[in-house]
Amino acid sequence: MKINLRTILIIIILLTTISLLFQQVLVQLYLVLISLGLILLSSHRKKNMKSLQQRFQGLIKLFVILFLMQIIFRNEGNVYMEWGIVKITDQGVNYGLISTLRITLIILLAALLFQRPFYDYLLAFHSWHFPYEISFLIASVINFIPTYRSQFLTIKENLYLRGIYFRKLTLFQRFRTVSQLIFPVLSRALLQVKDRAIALELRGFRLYKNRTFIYEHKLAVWDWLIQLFCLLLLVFIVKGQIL
Amino acid sequence: MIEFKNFSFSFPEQEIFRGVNLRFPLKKPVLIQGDNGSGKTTLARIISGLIPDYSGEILLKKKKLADFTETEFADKIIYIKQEAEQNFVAATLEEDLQIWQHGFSQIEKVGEERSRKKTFSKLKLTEISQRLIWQLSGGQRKRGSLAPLLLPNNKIWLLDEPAAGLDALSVKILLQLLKEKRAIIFSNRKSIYESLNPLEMEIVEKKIIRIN
Repeated sequence: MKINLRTILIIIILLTTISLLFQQVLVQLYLVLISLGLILLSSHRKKNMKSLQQRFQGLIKLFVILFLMQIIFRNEGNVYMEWGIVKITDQGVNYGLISTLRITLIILLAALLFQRPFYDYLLAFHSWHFPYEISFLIASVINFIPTYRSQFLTIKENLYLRGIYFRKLTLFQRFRTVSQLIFPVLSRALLQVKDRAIALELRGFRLYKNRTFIYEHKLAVWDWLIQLFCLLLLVFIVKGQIL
Repeated sequence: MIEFKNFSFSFPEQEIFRGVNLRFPLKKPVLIQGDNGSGKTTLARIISGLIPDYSGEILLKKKKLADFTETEFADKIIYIKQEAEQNFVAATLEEDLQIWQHGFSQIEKVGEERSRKKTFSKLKLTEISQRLIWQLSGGQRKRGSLAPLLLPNNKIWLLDEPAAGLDALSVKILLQLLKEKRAIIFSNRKSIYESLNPLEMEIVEKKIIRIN
């Protein structure tokens, strides 16, 4: 099923709003499951799923650290266990789970967004009557993340060719290595943006008010239905929380 | 000696190599030619260990590439990519060569600095070795990407279009370096390498055939 990007963006707004407003583990878990379902529905390529899986594998340590930090530093609520100054409380466990699930949700939603080509964003924002320049700007920012990713992958590949294996480094060594690599990666990514800006100017980017597009993204019936449902739900939830 | 036994490789949407059976010695430069998109870069990436998902066997000095450890790849093979800027990890040529020599360790072994100086001098890079790589011209970057070849090693060189973007003097230096070296050059520009009298191969219709 090909869901329109506009529908996905509305779903993402809804899911992130719910995630921010509700502090229950079960709600966060449902949100994660819904996002996972969406990814499975809209991802046609096995490669995307594999890279998502790899991303999670790489972040497991971070999840565990985050979870433990919340447990250790949040002392409010009923005490489950106590060792000297370290207390494990129900609220600590609760916040630990919520933060881990929230980060999972962010990663899943980001994966959902980055599956889409740059051009789809232009079409989506344009159909919402954003000025073309603004649409292009937002789409460029979203496109920046894959640019960084590709830069990092190239560097990882080059380190491999030199006999330096990222996954064999300790966490401390990785941080040190990344801190040394971050400047060239950022600079190269910014240079790409500069090249794109020059290319745009050469094509007279702001010269024409009316534009034609290579293809259009029309909304299907299910897109309309999902969007309507999401918007109503959003209004209902926000109203319920505020009033 | 490098040997391909029933070697095949496909991308999800395209078959690149089908049932290649071939062996050739690596005593002098080997030139592998082929049309654009025929699979030259893919083959270089496979031999360098960057693409491990092929079928059949590739043997280097009678040992299967599939059995190589990661360290063995880096110890035996040096691969220089076609796009110069794709070869660097650091901000300057000096830093980049240091990472080639001792990784991210701050400890420098005896002779490493001298070796770098010699390398830069030979490739006429001394003056620009401390400049930011992205401020260099395309040709300077290309020359810089070849610098690790001159560090003391006994590796097999995999060079993807090494002369592209180089001026006449730099091509001359490159050819001097390549003389009698165990190098596989992936290039369409046969005329440049003729003086090396290389062993010539061509990728045609998903096969690698020997020309001379």
